[in-house]
Amino acid sequence: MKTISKGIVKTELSYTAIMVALICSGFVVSIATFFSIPTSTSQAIVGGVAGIGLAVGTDINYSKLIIIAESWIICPFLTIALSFILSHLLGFVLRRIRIGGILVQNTLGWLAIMSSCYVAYSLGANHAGIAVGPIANLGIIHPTLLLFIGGVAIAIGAVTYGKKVTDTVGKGITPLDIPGAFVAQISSAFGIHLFSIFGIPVSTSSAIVGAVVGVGLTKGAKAISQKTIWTILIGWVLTPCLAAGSSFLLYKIITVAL
Amino acid sequence: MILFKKEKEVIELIIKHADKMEECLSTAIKTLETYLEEDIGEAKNLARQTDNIETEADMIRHEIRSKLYYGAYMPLLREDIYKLVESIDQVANSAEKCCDFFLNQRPVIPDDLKPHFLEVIRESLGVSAPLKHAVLCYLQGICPVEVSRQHSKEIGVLESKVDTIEWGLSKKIFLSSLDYSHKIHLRLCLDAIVAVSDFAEDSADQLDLVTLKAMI
Repeated sequence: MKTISKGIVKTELSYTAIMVALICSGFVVSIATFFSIPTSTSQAIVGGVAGIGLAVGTDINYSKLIIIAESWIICPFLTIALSFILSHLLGFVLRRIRIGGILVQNTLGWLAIMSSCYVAYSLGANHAGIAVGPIANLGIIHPTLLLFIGGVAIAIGAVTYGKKVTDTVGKGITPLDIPGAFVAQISSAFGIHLFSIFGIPVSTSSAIVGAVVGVGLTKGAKAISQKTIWTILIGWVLTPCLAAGSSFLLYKIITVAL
Repeated sequence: MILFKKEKEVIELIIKHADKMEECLSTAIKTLETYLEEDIGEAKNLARQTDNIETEADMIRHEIRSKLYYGAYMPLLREDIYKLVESIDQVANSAEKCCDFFLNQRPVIPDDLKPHFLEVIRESLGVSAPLKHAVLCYLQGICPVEVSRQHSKEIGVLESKVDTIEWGLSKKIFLSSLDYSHKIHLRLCLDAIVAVSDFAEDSADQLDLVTLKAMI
């Protein structure tokens, strides 16, 4: 959170400002999840911080903001290309492989589950830190306990609303089979890794959605649900905008009230 | 190798099941050939052997089901695997039923129709070889997936050939001077014979479906 805020706004933000940005971005992500849109927490946080920056009246690092926004656009395209190529490559290998097809499918299934666990673990490690980081620095509760509470909250979120987004990503965009799911997972992980090498902050959800679209494109453009894609795209545009707007307004209301 | 031990055991059992299906069909051919030679005693012995082999195939199928029930393969794949095994079992079942039909109802095959019946029996029940090759090819990995699909196609071609022979023989039966009841009985007899290749085609289709699902 501190890293993001320091990169986007040029001055140190107060804890009230950070809390407002966090609450608003969290709220926007919750709304998106309610409507089954796989949106990005980082997009919401970046929007929230930019909104707070405008409300505080500090200078905003627009060049940094543009680089981040560019990565949101480039990343899905990169993962689309990656998963499209990987799908064809895996298809080629599977046709020529000389071991049992069912056994290969079973192995791919387990690998897809393991890679999902890895992505979920990375997300948990990162997002729990983002969510409780500012409070941890206040020293109210021990940071480890705070992270545990954050982790439990993430688990509750996954159990209560995770299914809706899972349906959108797993079935809504294009129906995925075992090899397709495996390729989507690998491509998104590889895409995220590639961006992190270049030090560009990237959204995991946009990477995964891009990878799923890439897998669907191997079956033809008609295999992709245009309605779902448009809903996701609108969600991606609205998430940072709504987070920025709500942060700006809430911070203004709080400062006027206090 | 400990990894996927249960899954490999299932593959071995499916191959064993396909072997039994082939054995069952070849014994059934011998049974029907002996019946047409009017050696009923020997035909009965062979029919009993066919029944026993089919029972052994059933036992293997139950074992496969138990292995799947106890967690072999991902839940998504279990249905496809079991459907494939069941479809192979149907082929062996139909061969057993065909033998039972001959030895229970004792159809009287006129001498002039015997060569035609022999031809349709050999073609319909001879479908076991490409079916077994297709299954082995896919499961054992002894050849690329395309070869397995080629074997499946062969089964389709064989089934069409059987249909053509059936059409001709059916016409011959109904144009003959036999009693109408006799004609109907021979027609039922023919139905029992061609059912084997029909089930083999269904099994090949199921194998094709499993193969297609594995492709991207």
